[in-house]
Amino acid sequence: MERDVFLGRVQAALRGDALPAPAASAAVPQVRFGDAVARFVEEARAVDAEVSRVNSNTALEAISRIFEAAKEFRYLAWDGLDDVLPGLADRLQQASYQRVDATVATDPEQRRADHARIGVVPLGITAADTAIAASGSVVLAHGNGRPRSASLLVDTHIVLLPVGRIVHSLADALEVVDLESTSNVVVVTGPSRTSDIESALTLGVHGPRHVHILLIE
Amino acid sequence: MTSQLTFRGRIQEAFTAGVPVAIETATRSRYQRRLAAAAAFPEMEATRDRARDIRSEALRNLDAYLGQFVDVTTERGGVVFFAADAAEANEYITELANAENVRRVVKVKSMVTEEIRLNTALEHAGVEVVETDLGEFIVQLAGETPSHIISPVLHKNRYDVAELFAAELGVEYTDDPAELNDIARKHLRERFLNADMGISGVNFAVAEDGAIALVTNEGNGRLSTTAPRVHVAVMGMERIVPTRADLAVLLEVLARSATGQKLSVYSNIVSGPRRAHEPDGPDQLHVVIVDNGRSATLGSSVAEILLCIRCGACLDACPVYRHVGGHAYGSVYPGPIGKVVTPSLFGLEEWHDLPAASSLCGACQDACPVRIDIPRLLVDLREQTVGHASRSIRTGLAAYSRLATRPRLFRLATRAVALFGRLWSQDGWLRRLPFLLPAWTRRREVPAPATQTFNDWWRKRGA
Amino acid sequence: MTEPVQLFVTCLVNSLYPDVGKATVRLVEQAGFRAEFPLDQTCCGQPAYNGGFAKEAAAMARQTVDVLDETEGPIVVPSGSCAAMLTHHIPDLVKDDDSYVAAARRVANRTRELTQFLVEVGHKAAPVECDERVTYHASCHGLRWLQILEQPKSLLDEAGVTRVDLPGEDECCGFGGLFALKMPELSTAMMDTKIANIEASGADVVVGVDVSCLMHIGGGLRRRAGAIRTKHVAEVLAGESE
Repeated sequence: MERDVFLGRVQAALRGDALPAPAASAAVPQVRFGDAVARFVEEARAVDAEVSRVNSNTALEAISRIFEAAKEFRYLAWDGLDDVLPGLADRLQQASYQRVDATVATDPEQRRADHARIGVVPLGITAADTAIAASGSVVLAHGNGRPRSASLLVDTHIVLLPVGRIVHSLADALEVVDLESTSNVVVVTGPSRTSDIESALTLGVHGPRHVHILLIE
Repeated sequence: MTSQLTFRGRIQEAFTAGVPVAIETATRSRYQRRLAAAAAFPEMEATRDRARDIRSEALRNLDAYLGQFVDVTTERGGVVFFAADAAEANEYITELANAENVRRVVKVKSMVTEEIRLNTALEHAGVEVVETDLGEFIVQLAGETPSHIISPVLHKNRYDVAELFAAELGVEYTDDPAELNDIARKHLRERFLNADMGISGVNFAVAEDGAIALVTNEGNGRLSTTAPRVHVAVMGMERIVPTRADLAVLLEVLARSATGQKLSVYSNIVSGPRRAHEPDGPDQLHVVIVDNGRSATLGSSVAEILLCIRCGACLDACPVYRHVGGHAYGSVYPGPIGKVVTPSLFGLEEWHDLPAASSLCGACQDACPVRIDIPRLLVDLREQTVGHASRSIRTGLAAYSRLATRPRLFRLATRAVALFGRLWSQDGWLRRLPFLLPAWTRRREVPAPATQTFNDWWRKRGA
Repeated sequence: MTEPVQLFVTCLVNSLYPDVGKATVRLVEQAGFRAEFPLDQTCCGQPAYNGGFAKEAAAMARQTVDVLDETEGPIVVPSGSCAAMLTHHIPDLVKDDDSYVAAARRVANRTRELTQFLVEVGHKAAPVECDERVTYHASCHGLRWLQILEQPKSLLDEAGVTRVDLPGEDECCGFGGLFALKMPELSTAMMDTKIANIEASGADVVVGVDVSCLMHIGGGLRRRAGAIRTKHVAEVLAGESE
């Protein structure tokens, strides 16, 4: 149906004025925590994310421990993580860990091949653009050099989070998101979960089973 | 969409077959969890008020917001199609699938695609459709329909799922939910990565950003809109919210109302197909905006139902739903909200018995995050279908109304009933009423009329 | 000279449960008011309204407004659902009838459900002799349209009645007016759940603010040949009649 015809039907229906009038409710009060960082840690843990409070030295050790525990050497990652955690790339390279290119082609056959290559990588490293104290969420804006797969196809998702990036609420976080230059922003609140079978909580349905947040002080 | 039986017929069938206990326990526990979550959130009531206003502002200017949404989406590289009805939507999507040589589609659970029966249309066109929400995947494997808006397999227990997986997927029998989950994860992962098209619904479409928000806990929403080359988002035209700030309010309200979570695990915001230098994501985004009866609803006396954000809270709160389960409603939209949505989208004449299937207890309105006055809407639909009431009820009520508007006559009539009370009553109860009300007395006794009305007592009291 | 209170006793109390009306009179008088009873009252129209019979409902609503609007003082109703009819649904039913809008609004503003009224005027329930355990069923319309839940409970507690909690106290009993006749299987399935909860509570008597729900629950209890009975809250609070 043509746009004008479709919207014309909507306009005609609206002339009936059948909808309840807005009650002019007040804006939702802004959420403000005394200690947003502590709140973030508490909320993130409550949704089964693992949170480690680290500095730039201990962060590198924490990442090594995760790789060792997973007995893995391949990983997906975003570009530019060294800006958040200087020396990360070197450290990973010294340990002979291997970053897998996460670029996926447009051509259908090549795309399948890319997926076969990327889909088996169990570790991913990203850096949160912001994080939300109220819900323990991290916000990831994808884009150039920032593959979605690093937080999606892997079993363990490692998120670097400089402490200054924590905001209070979802509203605060969405306010600073740029949706013009990126096709996808995701707010991640803990590991993938379901309660579909007999309401039994199960982690790691389609997304990562482990979300490890490294809170860098 | 037709139903073979009336609602009453379907519930009789359901009672005979036995309604799974899981429905009652799951809805009740989620209802309690939601109450606890609301109690722990001091701003819940203010947030509900705001959410209702956002929804009603969006609908009152729906044409303008839809136009704005489409303009911005198109600017960001999305392709928009306006579908007047189910047939137009299905035709567009199947033609797109053919043109793109799509062999397999992965799908995210979505009410509107169930409503338009998109899977059937695609399968007719030779396309394989895989539902990826764990519950919806189980429903699809079993060849059934979902029984709850957010928990499609509420009607099945783990042993049902275990047998189904063993039979259909050729795996070893296990009834451990975690192991069943792993089986599904492995099976579906392969399908995600080899699908050509991903189809999702839309929880909210943000007018100012031309963006769509898609919420899941499992991650299938992200996978289906990332791995395949083509992403098709199907949205009921009422899914619009004006601004990003509005989106923040509604995402929180949706999560709290649906499951008692503060936010769902993945709030996925999509704005166009992947940009030139992005490493992954779909190369095409198509947004199909569906009317399919909504504009008629928008101009009707039940327009308020379009505020609904499909959280499922009213289903869990509803004592009728708890007792009969989702399938008894005979429609893709079950529960209290379904009793209004189904007749308003698919025809009140055919579905006139759904609005009657409520005690008007109001638990749904209480639970509704946007405070839809479902009892009032049900009464409105009952008014429109009053001709379907049985002859005895119609004549009975008409006679009662004539009496009740003539106080002297009313007094005489009630006095006459009191006389019968004197004749019949032994212990104050009647086991049955001859000719009358077998529907009542089959399982319930009737109190005998008192031998003296209150009215007569008062007069004699000499006040 | 004491302030008058207008009793709207409801059609069910008038014909089936006059003792509830008498108990209401005693409670209103105990609270220090003069009970008055407009003789021309009949039915508020709720069964017709809920059933979608708007024309019939509006006729009964106008009759009710006519009778009550010419009186003075609070209008007290020993029924949550009929009170909600007066406060919420009648104004809605007559909203397009200019000659009734203002009167319906006035009546609505004056109307209180009995326990709501007693608590609002600060009435302290007198101690009653009652060696039975009671439990309170929260009838839906009173609960959700008038927020009646704590008022009857606190009055019962004040009166020294042994009260036990009812699991699922806020869940519908399945009455619902014409619903009970049009969907009897469903209505009685909901009743069965309610009765199972009442039995689980260990109470001897189930108390409510609506005789309609109590009629339905009581009718079901009678078929079970158990000893549990139903009572309107007014009958419990007013004690034995003299």
